[in-house]
Amino acid sequence: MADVEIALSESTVQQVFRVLRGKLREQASGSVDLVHFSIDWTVGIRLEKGRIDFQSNNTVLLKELDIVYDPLVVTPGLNIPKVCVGGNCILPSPFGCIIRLPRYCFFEADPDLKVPLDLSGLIRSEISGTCGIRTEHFDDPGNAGMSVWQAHAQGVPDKWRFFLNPGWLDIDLIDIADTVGALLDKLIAAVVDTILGWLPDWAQDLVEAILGSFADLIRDILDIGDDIEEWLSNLLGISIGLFDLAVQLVLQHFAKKTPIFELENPYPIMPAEAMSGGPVLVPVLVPVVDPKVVVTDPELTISASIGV
Amino acid sequence: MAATDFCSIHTSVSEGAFNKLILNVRRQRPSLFNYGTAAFVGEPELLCEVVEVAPGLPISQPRVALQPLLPVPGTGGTWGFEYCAQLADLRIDFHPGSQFTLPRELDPLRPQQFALKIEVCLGLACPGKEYLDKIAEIVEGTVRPADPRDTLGAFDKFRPEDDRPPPRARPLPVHRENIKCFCLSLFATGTVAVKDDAFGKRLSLALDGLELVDIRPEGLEAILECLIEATVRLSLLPRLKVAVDDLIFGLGKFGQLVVGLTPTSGNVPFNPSIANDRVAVFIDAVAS
Amino acid sequence: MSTLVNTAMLRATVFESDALGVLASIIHPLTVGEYEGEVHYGKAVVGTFGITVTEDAEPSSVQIDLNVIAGPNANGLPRKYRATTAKEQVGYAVFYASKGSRGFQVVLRGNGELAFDSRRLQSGDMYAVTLIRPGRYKMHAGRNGLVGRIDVGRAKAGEKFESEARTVAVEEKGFSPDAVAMESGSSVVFALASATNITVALEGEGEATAVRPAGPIRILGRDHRDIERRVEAKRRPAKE
Repeated sequence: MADVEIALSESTVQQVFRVLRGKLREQASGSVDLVHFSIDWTVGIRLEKGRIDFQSNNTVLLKELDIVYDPLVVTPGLNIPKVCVGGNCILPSPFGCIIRLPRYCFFEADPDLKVPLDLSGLIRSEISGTCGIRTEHFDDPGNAGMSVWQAHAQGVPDKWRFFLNPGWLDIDLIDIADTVGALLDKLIAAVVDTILGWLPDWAQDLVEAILGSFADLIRDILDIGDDIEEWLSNLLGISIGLFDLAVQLVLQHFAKKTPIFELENPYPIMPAEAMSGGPVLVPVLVPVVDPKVVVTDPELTISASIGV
Repeated sequence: MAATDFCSIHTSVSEGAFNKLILNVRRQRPSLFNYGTAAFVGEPELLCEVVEVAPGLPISQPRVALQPLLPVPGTGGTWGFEYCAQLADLRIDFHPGSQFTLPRELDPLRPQQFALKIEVCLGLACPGKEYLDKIAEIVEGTVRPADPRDTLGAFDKFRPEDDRPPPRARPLPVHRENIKCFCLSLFATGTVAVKDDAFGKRLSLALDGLELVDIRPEGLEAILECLIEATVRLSLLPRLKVAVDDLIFGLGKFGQLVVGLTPTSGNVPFNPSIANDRVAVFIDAVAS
Repeated sequence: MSTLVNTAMLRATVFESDALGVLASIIHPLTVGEYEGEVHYGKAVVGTFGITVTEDAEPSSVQIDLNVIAGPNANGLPRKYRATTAKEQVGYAVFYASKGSRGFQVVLRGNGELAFDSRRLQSGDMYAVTLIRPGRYKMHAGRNGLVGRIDVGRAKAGEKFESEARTVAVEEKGFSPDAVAMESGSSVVFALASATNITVALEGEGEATAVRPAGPIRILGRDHRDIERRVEAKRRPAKE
């Protein structure tokens, strides 16, 4: 057995997990170019619900942790095609067209519309997975050249750090609020109004006759099929890579940026002490050797030995 | 059965861990284990046993705690012996006991008890015969023969020399070859308790019994036991407390666990508990 | 957004062959040779260009946007265009204006002699107009007093758009045919058999003033309730 063993019950670690979960706030933004349109996006994530279960194989099972995307603003940049008339061939030949009438286009340049779609709080996905605990010794670069007592006094001691080490992670889009469909309609109505609103009714008819229904056009450009959920899932998940990004942000938070806990090394067991008429006595620092974390079904055990 | 069946956090520390902790303290706070007068403070290599020091310990850290001279009785404080005292070894053993053999007065170690073995070394710097002769001459020259008539009716007479402060003791010379050393083994038994003081919750070691081995006459043994026990209990043991609140895990910027000892019960009859060469503490915790 | 729309197209209701503007073009046949051209707007010469016509296996035409010639020219040299003829066939220049108000005229000279003046079209020239605004148009041929009409119907939203180019011969005795009916966005090509100018002008708006039916835009062409029902069916059981 190691010199020191500390066993944490599952419910204790669950409490720690709830605190860490509640403090996660991450944000990211970006843009991506797809075939017929581009997307600018801004996303923030926070975590809700979820619980952890200790497994007998030295892993922690993470269950049903909800990722709430808030804010989530997706702004498609739609490339509306030129709408043109004319261009008829009036003198064909067996080898092509000898005389072709000029084309006249309604739009002087490719209009590129950006109409934001605010999906904040309406999309929710769920993460499940397993993780182990990773131990890392952090050599604080701030204490280079210092004795261990100097490093402790300056607040830059080396540390043992314990991180979640994720194994497999599964993410599912679980919930799209009802209002997303209505939001999409509003988006497209806004686009149509922006494009066509300036035109007289008869010109709108002509434009739509040439392009087909504008709503259908937008739908085609955005590739919205019958299944909104699937479309949104693909748009967010595959095109933007939102879910992967969310997983990465969660992983970074727990696995890299935020240790579950950390220990100074060497560890202070007696504080510095002032002696009357004499120098201040240094704190007593004890090396922590070979820390380990083992997970079993009822508890998580941290063990370490003491060096001299 | 899991360690945390009846608590949130279970901490278990081996006797080996304690002994390594003591070794670390001894090497980083040598002045807690080595005491001596000025000559020994100035030259720690004169002490009976080598003073172990942690590598890199700053020069400013004292190796030997300064003690006053041991006055030569009858010299009015004029002359004093240089001496040293060391706790050369300090080891702990938890029930059932495997590190060392206890004297019969303390044997066997009872459940929930720990045993301490302390090796004490004392050294006295005796002056050589020729130096003692020279000093004796000086002393004889300062001792005034008494007039028997001074004993009559002079009690209320003012004697100016009575108000003079006692002279500062002069150390008898120290020669390496004349430092007399001996070492004694002292055994103690005790129990572990949790104290809650200004430094927070801490484990502390409370002594039950103390025994010097085979010192004669018995009165000398008793005196030495008294002296050593006082030193250990008033100087050493108070500093050898392990902080229970070191078990509070920093959650970084996210807050801390608030800990408290699990109350004793049928499932947790002792808290802390000494058994199987380890001491265990049962803790309940709530995250803030 | 309106700045992106070619508003000249929306406003064009009168088309005159001797004052070229959007939605209209003049097609002039060319034989082998070098031609120097001038573009006039009002009384000013606003640009010059050159056309080289060579003989090749197949005849071809060249489209010349008068707006471009009238526009900024970085190196100051006349723009050059090329067309080809073939054995016993001619090449063609197609003059048009992609935007702006009507008023362009073109003069071509070959070997120093006047070869073409758009202010008076000749036999063999063609004048094409693309009509987008629904209504009844009157067509006139110069001073001959020839008249005819073109009825342009409103495009049917939801129906596939079919654009056509109808040919009207312009002869001494009149337009043939003298009445044309077509859908908005189609073109009429006047093939001249004698020298004249052509004018096409909107007389009555007719269907153009009818308002489009209003209604919510449905991205899937069906009720929202369908969408809600399907989303609900796929949703997992509520979690604690």
